[in-house]
Amino acid sequence: MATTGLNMAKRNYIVHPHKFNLWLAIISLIMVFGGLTSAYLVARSMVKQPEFFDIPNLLWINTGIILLSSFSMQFAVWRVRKGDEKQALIGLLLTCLMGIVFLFGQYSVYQEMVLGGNYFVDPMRADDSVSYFYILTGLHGTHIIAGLIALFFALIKTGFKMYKPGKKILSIEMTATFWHFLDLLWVYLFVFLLFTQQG
Amino acid sequence: MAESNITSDFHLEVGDHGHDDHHHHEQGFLQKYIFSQDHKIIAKQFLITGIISAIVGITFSALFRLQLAYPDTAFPFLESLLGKWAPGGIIKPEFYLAMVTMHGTIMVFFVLTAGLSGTFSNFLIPLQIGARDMASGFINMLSYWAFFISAVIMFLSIFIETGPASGGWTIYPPLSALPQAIPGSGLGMTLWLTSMVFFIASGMLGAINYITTILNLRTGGMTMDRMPLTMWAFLLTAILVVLSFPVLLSAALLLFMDRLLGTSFYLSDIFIGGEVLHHAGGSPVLFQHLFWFLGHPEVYIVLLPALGISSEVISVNSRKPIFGYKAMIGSMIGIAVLSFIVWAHHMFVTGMNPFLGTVFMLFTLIIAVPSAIKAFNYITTLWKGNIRFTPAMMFAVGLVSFFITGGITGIFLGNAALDIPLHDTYFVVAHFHLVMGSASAFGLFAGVYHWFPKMFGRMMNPRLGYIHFWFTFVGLYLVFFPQHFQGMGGVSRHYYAFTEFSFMAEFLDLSKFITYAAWFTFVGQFFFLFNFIYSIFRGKVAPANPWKSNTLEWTTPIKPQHGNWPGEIPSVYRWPYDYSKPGLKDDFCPQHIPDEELDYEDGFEPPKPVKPKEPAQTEGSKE
Repeated sequence: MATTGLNMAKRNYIVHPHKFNLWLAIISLIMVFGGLTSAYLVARSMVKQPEFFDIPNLLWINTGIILLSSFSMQFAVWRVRKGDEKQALIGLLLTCLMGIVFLFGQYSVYQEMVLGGNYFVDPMRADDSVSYFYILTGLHGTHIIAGLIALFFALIKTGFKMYKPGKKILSIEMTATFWHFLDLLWVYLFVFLLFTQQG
Repeated sequence: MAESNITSDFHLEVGDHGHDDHHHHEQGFLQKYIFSQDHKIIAKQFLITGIISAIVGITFSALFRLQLAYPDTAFPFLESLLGKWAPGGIIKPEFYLAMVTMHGTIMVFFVLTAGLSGTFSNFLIPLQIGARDMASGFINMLSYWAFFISAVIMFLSIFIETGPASGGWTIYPPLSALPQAIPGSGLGMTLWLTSMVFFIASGMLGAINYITTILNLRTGGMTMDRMPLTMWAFLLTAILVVLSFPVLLSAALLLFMDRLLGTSFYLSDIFIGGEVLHHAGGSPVLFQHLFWFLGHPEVYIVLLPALGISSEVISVNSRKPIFGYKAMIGSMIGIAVLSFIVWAHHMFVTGMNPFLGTVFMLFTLIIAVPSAIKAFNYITTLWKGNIRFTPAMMFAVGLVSFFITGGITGIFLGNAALDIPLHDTYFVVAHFHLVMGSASAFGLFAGVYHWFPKMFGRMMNPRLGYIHFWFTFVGLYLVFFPQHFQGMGGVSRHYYAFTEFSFMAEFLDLSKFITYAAWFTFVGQFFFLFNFIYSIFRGKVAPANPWKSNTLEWTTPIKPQHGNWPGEIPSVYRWPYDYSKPGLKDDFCPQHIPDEELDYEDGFEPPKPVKPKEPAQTEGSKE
């Protein structure tokens, strides 16, 4: 049809469809973790005498690392928007490294927990709080691994200039959105765990 | 491509793709039919997988109905069919439970969720909003294949040594959490959970894509208040999927841990076979909370697409605008929102705080309001319409009938006090089979009969369609209506045989009647199956717009290629429900024809075109 419609002005998306997909995925992840933390609260309310355990102090350092990694990630986004690929590469690399350090940090936290006698499966305990601790941190950790895979692809593709034209900024921005989300998610989980371990 | 000036780079890319295909049709079989990224092929894959699932699911119900009617009679054919599960022709209790579980799981998830929403969301969304394809064809393909893997795992679990999951489709712990509980709690349950993980992944990938496509890829002029009601229904369904399925994933994750690693999220103070288990701190009620937070929205995930399809079919075949378009949208939004705050009405008898029960009861009963608005709007759309009784129309009206009949018993069950005697009786079975099962299945049938010409380029045989309709409609009422009486008599829905208790044994004759009706319905489905397969190859070749419908999907070629429209995507000038508009020569006026080009009757003065909100026009009017 040759004539144009009434509302046929040049349409630019407010959000690119792929980014919109990502946001929907993030919403569903929020529901996953919202479901788990709610389950924890419901379970806690059903236990007569909750048993508390000490949250390893190492988690504070891990929280600092993941917060920092968000800054380097955002730095990469700003640089890549400016077309400065070399500095963007540095930002991505730093983020990647900090993500890996965070994972090792979480692993050490698990070791500390186990040495302190707090096991994932413990028939002797009267409540599930430790199990929930492992579930929440573990599930977050697996998503960090997913984020690292995305970062790794971004790193390789930027480093070897493998992006199709017009895809680079979008792709790195999406990686950053996901990474920031994981960061915020961790802050939520950390605060949640801190508060639920105090009477 | 001509549309490149109206869309951004992303759309252009999709468009170009369609353009390429148009020039060289050479595409490998694998690429075209198996690992296709075309939404129309994916829709057909969903439909055919859904139909195969339905055959399995319905067959199970026909078999366990035999057991309920004739608990002590041997049917030799059952032994040859089920082997060790029916020694001497009598179904074992374990396998009876397994069949009920598999029937529920397959029908709810594989047929009425994936088969209904997967088929029609995929097929209709790009066609009705005017898009070349889904926002991401690749994610769409993943969605189907995750569903396929899920279905394969579920069907394989039927054939394992210990039998499939048997704890009911709601998989309540401890039956689902302790592998040693019943035979089906072992490997069968593990496979069930694995299958559902793939299913959830499939649902999520699909839903994310549907939402993005509807919100971002609408053609020019297709504002949100010009979308067909099918689109609104699919959009809201997809939102429900995105918000509710993740919670089932959480629940399944904790259940996996309980089963495989021995945590006690859902278990506490329990012993089995005289042996005390070291589980403490958990609660099976927690699982019910998590499950029903998915489970109740799931009911509407099943029902809303059917309601959307029936809105479209009823309006087209009444040759009348849908009554209360905005009220329809509003009530669907209302149903979607309310569906998240009523889950505990499945748990009135778990010992919850009576005050909390009252709150959930209140919200539950409020759902009656938007549901009633929808029911009334269907009836007022039919009122004084120029009704064409096509098979699709018959099924759509049948849907309204089931929706009302089943909805009314929902008022009884949503009442916390009345739920105490009615809970877990056949009253519940009758209620949800009518309102969710039958109504949604009728939506599925209506959709298949209505859009079959667009899917396969051929018409289905209407006569076989009518036979199928009457078999199904009459059959389903005869099956489920008497179950209300059984339920009010206190017959439990989970029992293997009614002969053990004298008050239930009274209902054995009624049970026999229900079984005859169930087999009657079962036989009727073969008319559909034959019609469906026969018409794909031998049906009458379809005209471009067989139902004289306004929506955009009928503006494509009869068998749309990849990219849907060979040229430019048509723009949209009005809402899709302008049927029997006074003064027009035709009794319909397609969305894509501008007001200036409409054919008016002789002597009729067309209304002056109203073109709001265009700067040039406002200047013109000032002069």
